[in-house]
Amino acid sequence: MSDDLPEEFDLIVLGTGFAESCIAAAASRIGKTVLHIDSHDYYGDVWNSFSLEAFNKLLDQPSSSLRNGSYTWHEPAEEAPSWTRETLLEKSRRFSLDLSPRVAYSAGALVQLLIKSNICRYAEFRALDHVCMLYNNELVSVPCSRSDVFNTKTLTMVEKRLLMKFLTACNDYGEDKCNEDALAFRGRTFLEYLKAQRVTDKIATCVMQAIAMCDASSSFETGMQRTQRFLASLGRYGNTPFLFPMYGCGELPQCFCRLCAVFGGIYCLKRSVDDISWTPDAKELLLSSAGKTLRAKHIVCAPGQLPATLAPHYGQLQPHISRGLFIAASPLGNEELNKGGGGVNLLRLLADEGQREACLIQLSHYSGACPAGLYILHLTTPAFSEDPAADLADFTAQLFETNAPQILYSAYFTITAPTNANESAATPIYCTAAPAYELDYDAAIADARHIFSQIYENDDFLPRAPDPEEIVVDGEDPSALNEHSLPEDLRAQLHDLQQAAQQMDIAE
Amino acid sequence: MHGRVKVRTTEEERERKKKEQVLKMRAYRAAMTRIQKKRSAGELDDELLGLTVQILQRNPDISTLWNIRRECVLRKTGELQSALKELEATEAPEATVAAGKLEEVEKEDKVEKEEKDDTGEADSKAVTGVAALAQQLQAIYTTELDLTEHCLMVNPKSYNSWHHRCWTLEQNPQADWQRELQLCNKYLKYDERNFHTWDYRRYVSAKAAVPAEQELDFCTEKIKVNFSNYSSWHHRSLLLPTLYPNEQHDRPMSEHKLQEELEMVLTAAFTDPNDSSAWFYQRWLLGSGAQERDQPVAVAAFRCWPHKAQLALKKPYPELPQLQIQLISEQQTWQLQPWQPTNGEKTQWQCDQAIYIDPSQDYVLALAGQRLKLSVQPSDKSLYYFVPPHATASCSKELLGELQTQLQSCLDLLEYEPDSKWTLLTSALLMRAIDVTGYHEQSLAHLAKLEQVDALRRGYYKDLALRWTMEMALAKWPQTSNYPQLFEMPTKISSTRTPYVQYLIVADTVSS
Amino acid sequence: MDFTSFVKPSNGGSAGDTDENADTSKLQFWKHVEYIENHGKQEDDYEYCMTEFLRMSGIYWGVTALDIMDQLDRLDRKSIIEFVKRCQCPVSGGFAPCEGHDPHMLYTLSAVQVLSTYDALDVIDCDAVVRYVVGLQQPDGSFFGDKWGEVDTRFSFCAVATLSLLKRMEQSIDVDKAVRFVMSCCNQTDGGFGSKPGAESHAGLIYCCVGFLSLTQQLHLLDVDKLGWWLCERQLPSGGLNGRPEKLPDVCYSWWVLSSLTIMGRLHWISAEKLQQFILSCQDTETGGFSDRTGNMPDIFHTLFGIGGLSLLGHSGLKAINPTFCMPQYIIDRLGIQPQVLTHA
Repeated sequence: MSDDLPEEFDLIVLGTGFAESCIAAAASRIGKTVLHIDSHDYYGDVWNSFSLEAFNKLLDQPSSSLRNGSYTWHEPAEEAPSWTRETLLEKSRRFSLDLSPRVAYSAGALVQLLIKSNICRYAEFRALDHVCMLYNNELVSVPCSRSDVFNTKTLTMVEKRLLMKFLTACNDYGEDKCNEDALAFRGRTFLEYLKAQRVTDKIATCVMQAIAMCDASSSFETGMQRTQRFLASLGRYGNTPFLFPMYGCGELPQCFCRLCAVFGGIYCLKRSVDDISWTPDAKELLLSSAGKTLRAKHIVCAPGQLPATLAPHYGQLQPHISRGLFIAASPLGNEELNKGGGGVNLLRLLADEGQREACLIQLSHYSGACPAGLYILHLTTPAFSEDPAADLADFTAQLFETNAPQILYSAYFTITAPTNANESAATPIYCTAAPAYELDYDAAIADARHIFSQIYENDDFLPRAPDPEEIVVDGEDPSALNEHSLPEDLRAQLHDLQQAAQQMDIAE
Repeated sequence: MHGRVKVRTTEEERERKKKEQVLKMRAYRAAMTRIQKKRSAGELDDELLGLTVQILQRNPDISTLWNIRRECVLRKTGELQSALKELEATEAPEATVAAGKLEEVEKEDKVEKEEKDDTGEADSKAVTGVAALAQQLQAIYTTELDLTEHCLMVNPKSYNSWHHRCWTLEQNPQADWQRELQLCNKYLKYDERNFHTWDYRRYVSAKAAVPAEQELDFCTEKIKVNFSNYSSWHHRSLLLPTLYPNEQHDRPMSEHKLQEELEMVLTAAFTDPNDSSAWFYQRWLLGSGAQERDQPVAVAAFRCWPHKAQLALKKPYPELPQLQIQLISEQQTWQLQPWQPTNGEKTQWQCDQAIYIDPSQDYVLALAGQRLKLSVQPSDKSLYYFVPPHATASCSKELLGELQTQLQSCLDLLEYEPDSKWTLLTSALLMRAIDVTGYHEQSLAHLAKLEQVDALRRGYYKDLALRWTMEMALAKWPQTSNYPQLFEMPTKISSTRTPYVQYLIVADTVSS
Repeated sequence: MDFTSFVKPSNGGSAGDTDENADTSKLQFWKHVEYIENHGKQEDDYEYCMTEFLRMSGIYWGVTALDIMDQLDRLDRKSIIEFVKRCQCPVSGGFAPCEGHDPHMLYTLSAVQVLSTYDALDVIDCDAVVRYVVGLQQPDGSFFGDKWGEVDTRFSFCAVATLSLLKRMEQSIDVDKAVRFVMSCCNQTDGGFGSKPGAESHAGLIYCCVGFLSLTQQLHLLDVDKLGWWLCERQLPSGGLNGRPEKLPDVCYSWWVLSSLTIMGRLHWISAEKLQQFILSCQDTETGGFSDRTGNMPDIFHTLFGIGGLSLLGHSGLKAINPTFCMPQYIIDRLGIQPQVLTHA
């Protein structure tokens, strides 16, 4: 960290995870002076993606936010003898292994935010190839779009019609043309409504497992809302309603950091904070770090980056998410699901008669997250023990018993969250939430938005950022301004991105 | 002016636009004046070409400017071609050795090279001259193709741009048809319904001799991406009858393929019964094929008394008087003529001629290569012929099975959606394809329902019901006891608008 | 050659139009008269200038619409006839859209239609027109649009319509071959017609081909049930008609489908009432004129087809229109021409 660093900021943000980066960018965007620091030597905190080597290192060294890490190398399969531990490590940098993998609804909160704020020019996505479900132990693609329903061989004629009709009814729900009898189900469960439509078992599974992503107890309103969200995201890019960030989810926090930097935010990595204190009226916070004291009007902090002196205020760190990560030499499911070298696919798994669920994201090399010929399987479930492998056992059993891919590497870890994260009264520091168990970024964005609105009550959260060529400050050349204010490592990336990503580029 | 939304503009905006338009207009007029001046002075040069580009890029509909370009192109290519001829003439002795076989061509190449070396500078200059001229020639065509491509980006429905492209390619013996095919693919990606592009595709694929199978695959892919594509279903309907011909000519294509197509089209309809793209294709599949078109003069009924003959046709045939129509008994042949139409549609004709009828003999009516055996009317000993309209085409067991499966699917669907227009009509058509008589009442019930759910077309369904009712009555008529003297008009049919009325010339009495 | 010179100074005839709360449920008669009358009145109207390449057709649209509204005297007959006369090509005999442009079949028909309406066919060299049309027929019976070789069923219609108005169809072109070509453009699936053999059915081209068969007295060649069904399926819930399946409704397609159904005696297969509502909703109540769809910019082309459609639907206050020629019926009667029309059986 350079010594000419200013000593006073409107906002200091600790941690460069998703929500923190959103807040930092939003503050910077409205002209606040922002210092954004991270104790790690990389961006993204528990939202980052890592090379294989770095990932292993991370698992070997438990931290406040990540623990119970373990990994195993498996014997190379006969069919793929070339993939050994050595060859995988040779390609270490070709992997982008996510700690918190997610997909984004094409019309969901994240994509809307990226477009609205014009941050989309930094981001690139791949449309998911298939949304899958397990039906009679078989992995099948769920027909999402009109052309999917038309082309699928898994549904009968009448089933096709029933599915289309059901989805159309859901789509129209709440509109003028909404079907009267749907209204009668308010206050009941979504499953009851579905059953009343006389759909077949297969269609019910499609809807419950993959489209509405509900369980038997989900209310009619919840199911409707989720189905509508799914449908609203169809037909925008590609064949499914989902997008995956190219090169892994770790790219996303960095997009926000980039915007923050463009508007003058200052970045310091590998900077730990010793203590934070504040004036009695809490109008000024003092942050001591490496023998220096920095003053800020507000401080936002990720749960894992709290200085040891303050951490106890937020309770204990408990297991929050149990994660499994597998590298395989063959994809899950049949050829249909993995055309041309493999798909980027999504599957929601259920266990304990629907009481517990997990999310599986399969990434092929088309996601930019692994070398060709390999597949990453991300498995995520809410934690209920300190043993992530045990938490996931029911799901791995379902996945690997009948459809076993050739697994070369498997890893498990736990992401933690403080028991009292929401305890805002204890300190004047705004603490963001640990990554939630969710498909998209809705909770994370809501968290960021909430904290931002607490600090800057009357300001717009991430309004449209001007394009680089639109920014002119003090007669400076706009491109010079951009590059100048950027940290070294982001500068090169920005250069590439500016050329590549005028608009959000969706690879098919 | 299609699809231009009327937007309220501010006064300021209007002023700015007005100024801009005045400038544009001035530029347009100046360019047009200059173009016309140059053209009438015969200056068909590059400057003129350049001037037309300025305007055509914005407004490709001005056909005169394309005409001027063609005049320029013809002038330039004409000059180049005669220069080429001259050059080639000087090299003629060597060039005429050419023969068809590959080896010889190779040999020739070597010879040419050696000769080039021998004869030195002058000759090689001539050769490069030929190549350069040929290149110039191609450059002229390329310019035209590039311009049309640009114009088509601006307006993909410009008749003039498409035609100019065809014209240019026709001029060029070395036209690259494969490239054109790629262009079609590209444009059809932007707009899969642009009929200009589809027309152009048919033209290009004929030129490039693309196999029909390949075109069919292209169609299938297009439909898979989006079955709401009437253009693609249409293209398909052109390919299938030639790729999978039907031997009996009573179906549009082979029964096996027909079954596959029926399934595909039903799948589309079940996915979205409100999308009309595939309806017409489906009804065509369910129809009886080309049978009727092959037979322009189809006799519906005939009756002959000692003093006159009446002929009823299934479809109007105004040229009937030009046909040779003969009544042939075992002993005698009568030329029946002249014929006069007795109704406006010209489906009923009369010929006043005396004929001797002996009921004990066999009579035949011969016309247009057909020989129709006549029967004797017991009441007045007149001769008659009658065949009810629309005998259904025969069905193989497999096809019948498919139709029955489809009908069942439709009926299942009607359980869920009793008001589905498409399903009501399709199931009625399927019923009639399976068993006209057995399903008669049920299919009529569907039409009655359609009158309610699709009120815009009430008149159509009413007429269709009348036709079906009359067809049934006529089909059953020969089995009734009073046939052929008495025809009992079905109660629903009014006397003013009776379909198939010409068939009734055979009856003495029509009761209602 | 500006339209300006064709317009008589306004005689205040539109003063009757005091109905200021203009609504689209009623025909804004005087607004439309004014719209057509004003069309191109402004010296430097951009749209007007940029559409000079189809001026002759523009005049036909305006003249016909005004005549249907019995307001033809608002245009200056003399200068229009002079203009048309000047557009005849002395070499080929065909008509150009305006001076400085080349002759074409499309504008030749428009010119002959305008002169027929003004009963002034004697001012041009009709023999030369016949020669022009005959010269464009090809060995397969089709017609070029001009000497540059574009083939389209539109031109088959233009050819027989022009010759019919000149009463020269017999002993000029080869009608049998012309019929055979048009029928080769008939599609098996829907009974409709496209622009050339194999081309997809399209309401505009169906109008041309049905009109062609009506003029050549060959309507029996149509598969009326099949084509009629396809045509009546063009009507959408808005009441408007589209030109092809799954397309938007449009006033001009409404005319083409409507006139084809009328010629085929199947007008009752669509809802006339709903169609009338749709056409009226496409009026621009501010400026007058009709647009392609509700809320869009009006233009002279859609104005004729809006007025024409209403006339065919029997709207009061409009003269009867002939479905085949899209010209006032009294003119077709005056010329003694009887295009074939099917009665419903």
